[in-house]
Amino acid sequence: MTDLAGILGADRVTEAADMPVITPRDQEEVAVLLQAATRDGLTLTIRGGGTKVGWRPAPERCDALLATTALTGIVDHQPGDMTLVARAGTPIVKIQATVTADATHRQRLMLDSVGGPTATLGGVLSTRAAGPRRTRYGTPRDIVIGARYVTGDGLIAKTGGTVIKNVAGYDVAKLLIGAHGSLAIITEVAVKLHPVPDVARTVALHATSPAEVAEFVERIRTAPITPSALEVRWPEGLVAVRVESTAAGAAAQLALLHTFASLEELDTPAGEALLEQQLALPFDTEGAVLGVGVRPAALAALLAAVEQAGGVFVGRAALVAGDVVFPDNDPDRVLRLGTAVRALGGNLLARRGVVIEQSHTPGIERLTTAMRNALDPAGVLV
Amino acid sequence: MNLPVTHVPPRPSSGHPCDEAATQAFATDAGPERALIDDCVHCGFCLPTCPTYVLWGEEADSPRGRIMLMDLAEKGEIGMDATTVQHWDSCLGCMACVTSCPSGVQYDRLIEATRSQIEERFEREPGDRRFRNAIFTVLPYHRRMTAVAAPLLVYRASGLQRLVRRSRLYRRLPVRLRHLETLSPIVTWAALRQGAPERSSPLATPRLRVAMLTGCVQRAIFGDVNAATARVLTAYGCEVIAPRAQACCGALELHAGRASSAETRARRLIDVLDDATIDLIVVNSAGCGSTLKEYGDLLKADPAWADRAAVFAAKVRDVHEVLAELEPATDLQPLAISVAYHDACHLAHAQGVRAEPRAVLSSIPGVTILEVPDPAICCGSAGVYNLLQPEAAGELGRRKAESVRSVAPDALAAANPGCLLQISANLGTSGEPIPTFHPIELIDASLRGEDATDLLRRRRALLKSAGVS
Amino acid sequence: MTVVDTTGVLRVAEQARAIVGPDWVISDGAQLRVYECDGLTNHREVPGAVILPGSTEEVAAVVRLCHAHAVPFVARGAGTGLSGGAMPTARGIVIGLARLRSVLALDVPNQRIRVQPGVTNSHVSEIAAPHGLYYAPDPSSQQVCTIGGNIAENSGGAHCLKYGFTVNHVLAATVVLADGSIVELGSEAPDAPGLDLLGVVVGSEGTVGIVTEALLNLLPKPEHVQTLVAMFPSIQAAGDAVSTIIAEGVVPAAAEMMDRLAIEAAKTAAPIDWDTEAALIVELDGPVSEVQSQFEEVTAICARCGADDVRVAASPDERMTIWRARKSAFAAVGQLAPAYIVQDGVIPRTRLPEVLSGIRTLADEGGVRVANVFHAGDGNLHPLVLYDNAIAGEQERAEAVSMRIVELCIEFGGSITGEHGVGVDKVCSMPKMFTGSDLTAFDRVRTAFDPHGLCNPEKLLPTPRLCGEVPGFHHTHRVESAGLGQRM
Repeated sequence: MTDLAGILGADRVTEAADMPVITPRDQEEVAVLLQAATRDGLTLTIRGGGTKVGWRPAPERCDALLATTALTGIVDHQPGDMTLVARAGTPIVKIQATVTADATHRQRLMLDSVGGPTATLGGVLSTRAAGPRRTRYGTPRDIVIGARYVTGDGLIAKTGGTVIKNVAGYDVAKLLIGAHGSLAIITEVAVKLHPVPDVARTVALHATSPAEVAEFVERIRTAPITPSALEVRWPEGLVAVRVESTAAGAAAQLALLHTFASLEELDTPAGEALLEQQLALPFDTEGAVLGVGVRPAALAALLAAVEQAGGVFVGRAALVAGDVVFPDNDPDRVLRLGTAVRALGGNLLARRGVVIEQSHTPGIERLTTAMRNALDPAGVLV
Repeated sequence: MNLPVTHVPPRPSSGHPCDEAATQAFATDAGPERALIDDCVHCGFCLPTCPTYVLWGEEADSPRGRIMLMDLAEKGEIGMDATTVQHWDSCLGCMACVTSCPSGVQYDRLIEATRSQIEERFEREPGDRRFRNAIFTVLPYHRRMTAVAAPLLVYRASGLQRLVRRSRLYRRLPVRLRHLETLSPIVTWAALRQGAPERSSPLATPRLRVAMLTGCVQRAIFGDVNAATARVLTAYGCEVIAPRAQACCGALELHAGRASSAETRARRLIDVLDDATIDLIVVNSAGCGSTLKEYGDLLKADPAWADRAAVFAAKVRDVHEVLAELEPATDLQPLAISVAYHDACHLAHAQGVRAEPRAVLSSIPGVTILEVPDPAICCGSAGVYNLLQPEAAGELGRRKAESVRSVAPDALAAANPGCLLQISANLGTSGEPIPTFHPIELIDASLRGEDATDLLRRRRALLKSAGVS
Repeated sequence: MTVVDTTGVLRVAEQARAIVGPDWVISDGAQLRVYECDGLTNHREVPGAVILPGSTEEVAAVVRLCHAHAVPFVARGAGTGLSGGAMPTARGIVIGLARLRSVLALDVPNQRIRVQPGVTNSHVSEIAAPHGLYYAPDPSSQQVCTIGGNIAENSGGAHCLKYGFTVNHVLAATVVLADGSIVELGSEAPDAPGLDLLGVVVGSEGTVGIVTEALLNLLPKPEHVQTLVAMFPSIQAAGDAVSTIIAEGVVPAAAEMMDRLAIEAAKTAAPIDWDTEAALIVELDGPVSEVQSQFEEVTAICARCGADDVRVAASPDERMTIWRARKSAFAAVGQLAPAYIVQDGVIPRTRLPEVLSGIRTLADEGGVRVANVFHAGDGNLHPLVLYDNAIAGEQERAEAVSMRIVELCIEFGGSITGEHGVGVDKVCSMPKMFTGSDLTAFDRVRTAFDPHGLCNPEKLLPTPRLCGEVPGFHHTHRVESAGLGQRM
């Protein structure tokens, strides 16, 4: 039995819920740890803010948790270039505070703090988590421009860089994003920032049928409207559109929206609160949660299926991507919805209290195995 | 133009280099110039506009690839072999690449110089040689063309053509002859009999005195177009001189690499057409116009002719360029028709004349111009290309016909006899015949106050009787 | 000197004839030469054979042949790349994708389109146009470059500042792997589970497989576009204008800059009369009132930052002329000098004036002229180093200046390539930007896709043969990774 304390020192090891937790302070310590683990056949699970643990099956065996809580801090912030580099364990809200504190540049990191205020940059990346801002700004995949990481066998490497435009080398960051820490440990991330438009206005539709929702969304998708959020909550019937632009631009877009349907305009705090709610609901509501993605034209069909299955859909209406919460936790209903989503050619992801059998083609299985063997040959990262 | 590639490229032409050309493709100081070859930076912007690249997706059948072959040949790294010659032969000479090239590569000069060398140094196999010689023994001579055209008229009118096309023998004919048969022109007695008079004057004092090229193919089988051209020019205030003694301008030969024949014709034509009293030389055939504008270059090495040729070339205009600057003496009567205007390569790419024909056609009240999709891609006529490379020409002709049909025009207008023949033949093989005209014919009809429906009906009937339906 | 083993290639060529048809296998001398390079002519290699398949199945079958005979292969689209990515390997096959150019399915309600890799970039937008949609990534060679090539290089284009790169617009792809097996990567719906293998394939420069189909995302055409070109007395002033525009929170759809020499070249290809040290093109697009209000701001900023002349395009034709001038600048530079080297460095946008001044110094010291065209919005530079290879030593000096420019970009914390790719051209500069460990990790990822090292080898990652040994860079031995041998 390996002496965990002997790898980085006893002060880096703690106990939590009968599982040892190791907390490296920097990239080099991560490397030492993983080299030791490779050598000694240990398995490690990465833990950031611990808000999205249910997003993948628990490992069968795990010798220790690798906590990223000491891998924090802003490394570089260049508002003129609209870039920022931070260590992976830094909470998103902390990065946000730094960015928005700059008075000369009105910018923001367009990554939602999915899972609450303890969600870390590395965690959001590893789970490819995204919230309402995704409609306009994309997922972590579209925001990360570079990363430093340590492979399962302790090789320290970097991918990308700190400039927005860069095609040198392989885009390993894309591989690590959404890999749930199974290939390498991300230690530092370079992200791009976006300007905050002058004005933000939000309107809401109270729809009474999936068809009405779909029609409204379709009109927006084909109109000269560029929403920064287009959210739906079903079967509640709430559809919210947030427009961020110059004052004249926002006014014109809102005027156009009002011709589509009878809408209620929310004041600024209510508009902000609505986005926060959309982000928080899947985490605050009791019950099983399933992540769902279908192609845009399947929106109405999805909402109908969700309602039939007794679930609540909270998500982005144009893409279509979001979460389905099952307050009564009924596995049959979850299964029924899962089947319906698959029939629509959609994707399912586990969020809470659900285990999904993802069946990949043999080709993808082979590549996935090859990639794991390449970056984590001893299978340390579970 | 991104249609699936279904067509296969032609096999290498059989034939062999003359001994010295085996190792050195081009003679010293002949062939494509090194400086012009070096202008090409290999960017590839020419590829999507090249008809043969569009057909086959093969680098060696693109301007960039052909220039590379010229480059290697000029350096002596490759010789004049059959495959290389085929890639150069399959070039249409449409010059769409010249229009699209951002580096100013003079591809037209490169391919002409290359073709000259091929004719001198590559011995084509006997059948090919005979066919080519036959073409150049007939086409440039309007009387011989007429002599061929008249029996064709009978061949068609008597129903013999229909029989032949259905016969098994027809299907066994070599492709080239079969295609020749398909292209047998839409000849009418009127066209054979008509022509531009030697001199026509407007009623009022003429603004310009112009000499008109009557051409060879045009004169023989589109004599009515020549007659219409003379009428229209007169109506626009020009005195038109169309000497009967004139002969072919040499364009077909020049573009096929028979440079010295072309030079001889150029000298003769300058003699016949030009004198100090002539303001402009007017041409109604795109292919001819572009060659006439190049006479200065063609004869620059001949001290006795260099200056005269340059003066001549500077006077050459396409008929639409002339009309666009003038006003007709009588009003243009309405013709409520939609016209798909086809840009002949030698007018659009070689001469840069695109706006004028459209402007002139638009000046007819009631005419709507429809733009044909993929206008930059040649129809496949390309001088005698449709006779020498029938499969490629056929495929391009079909695509052009499809493009034209896709805008559902009342009529098609093209300012070149070759294009008219090619497109008419291909339009005829699919669906309702679309009447085809030289733009001049439409202006003429408008000046004469002809009824649009009648005009279209008559032309459709003519095409039908030509077996083009 | 490399000993060339031609027997494998000959066998592949022979058997390929039965698969694609004899008309589509080229194995004779002169014809092979036309495939020896792409848009970058100073890197050439004659292939052993060129095969032009007509379908995904044919591509896979040909790759299987290559795999069976251990013959390396290089995929080629239109051959317009600027890093030698489609340059053949000496004893290998070129697989040309030019015949795979069908548009397979246009899905208007979902705003996407499925195409084969040989479809040209601009054709995608042409097909989508009647439905009010378009394909956003727009490299300057878009009339001729193909989607397959765009995917290989993760192409950007002038509008990538606002709309992202190819990787942000490819939803799914069919990929033939180096062993001839076919995989479908990505998904037509968001949030596909599993690894983002597609994200690695895009931008992999044809080194991990051949894409034979792609599902692309389309965007609704912006309601309104407004373009201006502003003439500035100096690059510095123009750069300041861009910084100010961005600081004000405006994200231009495009912000391009050309210096005096580049403008001189562009004049030969487009009917412009610009006479200035620096021309700044700014384009805004989006809903009309947003564009109009932002455009007023932009125009004012240009004036404040010292523009001598601000010309707003008053018609689509005028806008087209401005873009023609910009997009033909590279090739038009060929009119200024017999030869040139084009670089593709990236630097943080705020350092632009310093870097350009550094380039000016390097050019003067090297005794060569450098024309500059660049994406002012994202710091991607295209210095065009002009030279005349007839003058003794000029080519060497041009190459040296070119290399120093790359190093300068790295010194300023940038990248050696913003969009053209590493290919063969910049492969020996990779160790300047990445450590041995970085390269080792890259190599591992590549080997996971291609254990035998047959797919476009000797590109992207340095090899001892091309660049000498790189300290700390441990290549996975191909024999080992292919499971054919073991370390004792």
